[in-house]
Amino acid sequence: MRALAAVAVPREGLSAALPGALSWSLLVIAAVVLLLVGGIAARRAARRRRVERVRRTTEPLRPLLLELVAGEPEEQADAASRLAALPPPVWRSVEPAVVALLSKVRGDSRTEVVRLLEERGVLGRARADLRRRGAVQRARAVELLGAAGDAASVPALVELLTTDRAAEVRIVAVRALGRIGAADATTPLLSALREQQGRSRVPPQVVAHALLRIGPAAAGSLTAALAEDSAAVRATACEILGRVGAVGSVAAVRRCLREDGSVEVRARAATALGRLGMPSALEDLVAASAPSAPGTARTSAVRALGELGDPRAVPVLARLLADDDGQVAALAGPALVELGGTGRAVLHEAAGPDAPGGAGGRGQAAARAREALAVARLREAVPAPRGAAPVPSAAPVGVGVGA
Amino acid sequence: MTTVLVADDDSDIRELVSFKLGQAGYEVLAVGDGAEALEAARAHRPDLAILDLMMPGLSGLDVCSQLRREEATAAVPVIMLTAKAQEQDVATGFAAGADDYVVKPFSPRELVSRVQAVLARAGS
Repeated sequence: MRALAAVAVPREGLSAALPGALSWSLLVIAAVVLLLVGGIAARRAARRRRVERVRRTTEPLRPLLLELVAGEPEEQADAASRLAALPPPVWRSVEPAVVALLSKVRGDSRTEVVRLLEERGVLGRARADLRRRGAVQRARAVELLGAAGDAASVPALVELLTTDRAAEVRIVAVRALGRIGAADATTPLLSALREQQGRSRVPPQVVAHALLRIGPAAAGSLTAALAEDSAAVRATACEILGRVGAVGSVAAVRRCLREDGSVEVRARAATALGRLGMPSALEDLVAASAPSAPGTARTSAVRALGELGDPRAVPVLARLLADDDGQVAALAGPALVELGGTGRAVLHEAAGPDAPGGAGGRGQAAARAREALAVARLREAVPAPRGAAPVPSAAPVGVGVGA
Repeated sequence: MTTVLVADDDSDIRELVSFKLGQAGYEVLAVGDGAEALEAARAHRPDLAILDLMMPGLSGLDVCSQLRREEATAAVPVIMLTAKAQEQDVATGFAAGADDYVVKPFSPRELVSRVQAVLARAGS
């Protein structure tokens, strides 16, 4: 009590001190607000001045930049030597515009830009920046080296992909390796899909897109990856092999479809075989579409039988029109349409006036056949809506499977 | 003089394509979106149009389909210039009536060759 009494301020003293303290507090707050507003305004004005200065500096150099990327060879060489000789302050202003061109042109034009950036030391600085402490600086450097297609930095990028603690840097490294077309990086890219503490180090769809950019050059490593112990790796490998048209991998992908322990991998293998379009896959796809096969693999196999385009699949698909699994039966019709005249003839037969419309297997087959023919007729008669992308025939590129 | 309409919302690309085509002897009409492209096509009847696929408002596909629907512009050859490189995207471009499809990043020199080839096929 004594202590409380000691700190207590007399009521009349408090009411006298309060307005003064309030005014001081308000004054301080107002001063801080004014300072902040002033600071922001000054920063904005400085930024505007900087942008204007850069614009004034770069504007007269635009024709030179255009000649560098789109001129005739002698104009390109002349523009390159003039840009290489710019004084450092002018170059600093024009550098972002030069770097921006990297992602817009290819071929000789890009080569000229890369040569200039190398000569001005921009790429060298970016290679050094890969070891910077700040993740933003590392990511920027990775982005630039990827855009420049800098093959010399592939080992450093692979190291970042494997060891960098920042997820953003790892993701940008994956994209950069894809842009460079680094076939040597296929195995590390796939390894990034292995789960650690329940998550892969990089989102699967980012890895898949990078592998797609690498293209057929990655086929050897992708085929070898079909024997990996991670299902996510095997599924991605199947997906990409199908998308890049790696026909040399058909035997290995067929083995996955027959023997893989993961249903997701088998489904991806079926899809890949449909895309690859090799008649040798028919037997395995037919087996995978049988009622004893797991559901996802079956539906993928039925789609793939349509895409494969082998008329020997017609009787199999005709039987599947009456399948107990509604999804399989629904996919059998469009697959028969894909097979052309023979497939359509079977659908007409199944849908025709002789086909009973009642319940049961044949009734369902007739309904499915009519549905498939109606959709096909609609597609032929009505053009796709303006700007509409076609409906994808299978799952998106990203692969998410438990390892 | 052969007139080429260039529609792209990226000013760098617009400038680059205009420069290269200008150098190759074409007259260039450059616009920044789909609506302007349609307007320019109706007003100037270009000999060829280079359309970016993804533009604000009307996309290149929209513009292409519309050009094909209108009698005055139905025969204008169209080249799609786009970052969308997947097989399905290319198929969609051709389905909308495009005569050729160039993927970004692109080679300015190759683009001019394609323009020349498409114009030659069209008999301009």
